[in-house]
Amino acid sequence: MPKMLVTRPEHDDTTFYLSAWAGLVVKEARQRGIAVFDLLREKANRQHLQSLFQTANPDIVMFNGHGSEHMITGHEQEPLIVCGENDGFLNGRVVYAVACRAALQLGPSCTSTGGCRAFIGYDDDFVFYSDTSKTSHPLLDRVARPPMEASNQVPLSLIKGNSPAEAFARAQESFRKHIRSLIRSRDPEAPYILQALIHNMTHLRFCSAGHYE
Amino acid sequence: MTPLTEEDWELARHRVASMPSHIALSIGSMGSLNKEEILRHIEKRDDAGRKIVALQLAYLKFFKSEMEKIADA
Repeated sequence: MPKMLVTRPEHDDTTFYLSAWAGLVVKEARQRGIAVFDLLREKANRQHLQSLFQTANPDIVMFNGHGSEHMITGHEQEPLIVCGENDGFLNGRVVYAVACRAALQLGPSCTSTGGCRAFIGYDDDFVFYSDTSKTSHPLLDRVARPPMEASNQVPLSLIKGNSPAEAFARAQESFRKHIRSLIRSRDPEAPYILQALIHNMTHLRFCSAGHYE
Repeated sequence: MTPLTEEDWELARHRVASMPSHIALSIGSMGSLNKEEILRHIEKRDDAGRKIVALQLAYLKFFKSEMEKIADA
């Protein structure tokens, strides 16, 4: 049975939403009997993360938070994984990063040498629209739901035992499914939800040794 | 990044102006932006404004290509 580690900082509206939706992945993984190391809020710090990489040795890692070309951050923007500094902790693991632009440099770099098994992430900002009346209840927000559900297909597919390439393909299909269902919608929010879906689908990347798409 | 034309900025401004005011855009570390804040970024033509215009243009381009596919089918 694989082991999974999830980081869920919660220090602003964006991380609060990502954390809530990643909570569904944590729940599903536990229901399937997978050991999940859930680094929530203050626990999403570098020391705790590195310690768990050494002691628990998770196979699947899901990062939620902010990021840049060369790093992924945790609670209160603490750098968790920095390219060329501590990305060796990703070796042998499958990583999904819902963190802006991490698939631009960090993903290709940590997979190019064959260290990290696979890295799925975004080479631009991860974007979504939300309903401001639902800020305290992200899971009830139907404006944020489509991009979050499509994004969650990556880890949900991985915990079902699919390969990283299959998880990437299933997420792309989920983006397309949501786009198809919204493209004829007359809801005033639909064009904006579609913007987020199209953007995130276009910028989702899959990196493994010798492979980038 | 492709340079944005005057027409691109205007088009994006018009589209955001018709956005429902109860929704907000979360765009990476720029945080959650409401309609007024989005319009301000477009007016200032700053980095966030550029991102927002790019989002609108990508959506319109995608929509156009889908419509062409339907027309060709």
